[in-house]
Amino acid sequence: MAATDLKNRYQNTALGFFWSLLNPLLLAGVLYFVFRHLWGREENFAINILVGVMAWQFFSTGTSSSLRAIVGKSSLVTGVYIPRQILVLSNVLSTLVNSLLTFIVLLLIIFIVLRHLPVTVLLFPLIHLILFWFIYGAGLLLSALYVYFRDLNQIWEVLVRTLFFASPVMYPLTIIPDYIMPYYRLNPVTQFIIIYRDIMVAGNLPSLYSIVFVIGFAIAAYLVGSFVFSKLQRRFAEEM
Amino acid sequence: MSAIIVDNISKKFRIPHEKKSTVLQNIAGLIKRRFDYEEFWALKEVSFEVKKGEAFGIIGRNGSGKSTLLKILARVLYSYSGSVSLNGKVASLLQLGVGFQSELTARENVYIYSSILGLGRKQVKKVYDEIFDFAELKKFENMKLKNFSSGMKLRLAFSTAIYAVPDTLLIDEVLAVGD
Repeated sequence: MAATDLKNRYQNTALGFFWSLLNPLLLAGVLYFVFRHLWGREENFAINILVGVMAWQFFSTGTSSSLRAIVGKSSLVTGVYIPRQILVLSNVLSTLVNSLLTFIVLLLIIFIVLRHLPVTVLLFPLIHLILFWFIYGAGLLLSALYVYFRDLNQIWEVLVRTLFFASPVMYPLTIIPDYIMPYYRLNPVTQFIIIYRDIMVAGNLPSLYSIVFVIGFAIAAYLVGSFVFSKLQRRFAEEM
Repeated sequence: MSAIIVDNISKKFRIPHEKKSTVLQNIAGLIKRRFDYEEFWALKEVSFEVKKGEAFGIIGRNGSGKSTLLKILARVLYSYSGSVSLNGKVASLLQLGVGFQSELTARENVYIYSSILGLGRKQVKKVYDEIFDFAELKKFENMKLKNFSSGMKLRLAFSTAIYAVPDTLLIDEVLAVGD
C-alpha cells in the first residue's frame, strides 16, 4: 500500500522524487538567505538549517498527510474490511521512505561541506525510527478525530505553523532566553531537531534526557493515538 | 460446519437533529445544549446460521436493513449488541472496485485489490492470468484504469474477487449491473 501511495504521488511527474527533495532544499535556501545576516556567524549555520528543515518536513508532511488517511480513502473504510490502522501506517511509511531519501542526500551534503561525517551519524536510524513512531501515533489520533471534526485540518495547519516558529528550525537555540528554555524544550520537535543536529553535524552524543524525552513522547503518542483510534473506528463507516 | 453464525444482533443508528461535523459546531452545540438525536433501529435481534456450501439470500423492502446486515458481516459496521462469527476467509463485494486507483494500470490494480481481499503477491501471480482471462480483459492489462468503461471495471473487480477464493463471499446489489 505504501508503494501505491508513492507511485500515486509521483505519477506523471518525470522529475518524481526530485520534487520532494527540492521542496526542503528551497525552503532551507530561503531561510538561509534571509537569516544569514542575523545568525550567519553561528557555526555551521547553513547545514543546521538544512537538518532542521528536513526533520521538520518529515514531521509536518507526515502528520498532515496522515490526517487525511481515513477520510481520503473513504471507499476502503465503507466498502471492505481491513484493519484501518493500515491506512494510516501506509501513509506514514511512504513519508518515511521519502524522508530517508532526502536524508541520504543531506548526508552527502554534510560530507561535502564538512569533509567528514561524525561517527554519531550511526545513531540516525534509531532517532529516525523514534520520530517515525511519534508521527504514526500522532497520525492515528489526528486521522481518527478528523472523521468527526472536519475542520481539524485547518486547526492542525495553524498548530503546525505555530510549532514551526516554536522550534529551532530557522534560528539557533542560543537566542532563546534562559527563563523560557525549560518550557521551550517541552516541544518534542525541538528535542528531535536538537538531537539530529547533535548526531549529524556536531558529532555529540545526544543527552540522555533528550533521548528519554523523545522516546517517552513517542510511546505516549502511540498509546493515546491507538487507543483513541480503536475506540473511534467502530463508527467510522457511519460518519463518512 | 457453519460458515456464518449470526446471534441476536441489533444495530442502532443515531440520527442527529443537527449534523455537527466541525469543532466549531460542536462548541456551539455545547453552548446551546443541543445534543439530542433520534435513535433508529435498523436491525433488531437478528439471528441465523449459514452452513458451509450454502447460498444464502436476503430479500426485503427498501430500508429494511439488508445492506446494514451485510456491512456488519463484512466488519465495516459494528453491531450494537449480539455477536457474529465467520469461519474462514471472507471477501466482500459491497461496493465494487474498492481501492481501485484510476491513475494506475489494470495490472497494478488487480494486485492492490487482491491484497485488500487478503491475498499475497505470490498467490495473485498464480491466478493472475485466469483473472484476466475470465474478465476478458487481457488486451487491456496495461491500460490505466481511468480509461476503462464501467463495465470493464466491474468485470475486473468481480473476477479479481472470485479468484481470491474466499470461503465466504458477501455480495450486495453490486452485481445488478453486471453482464
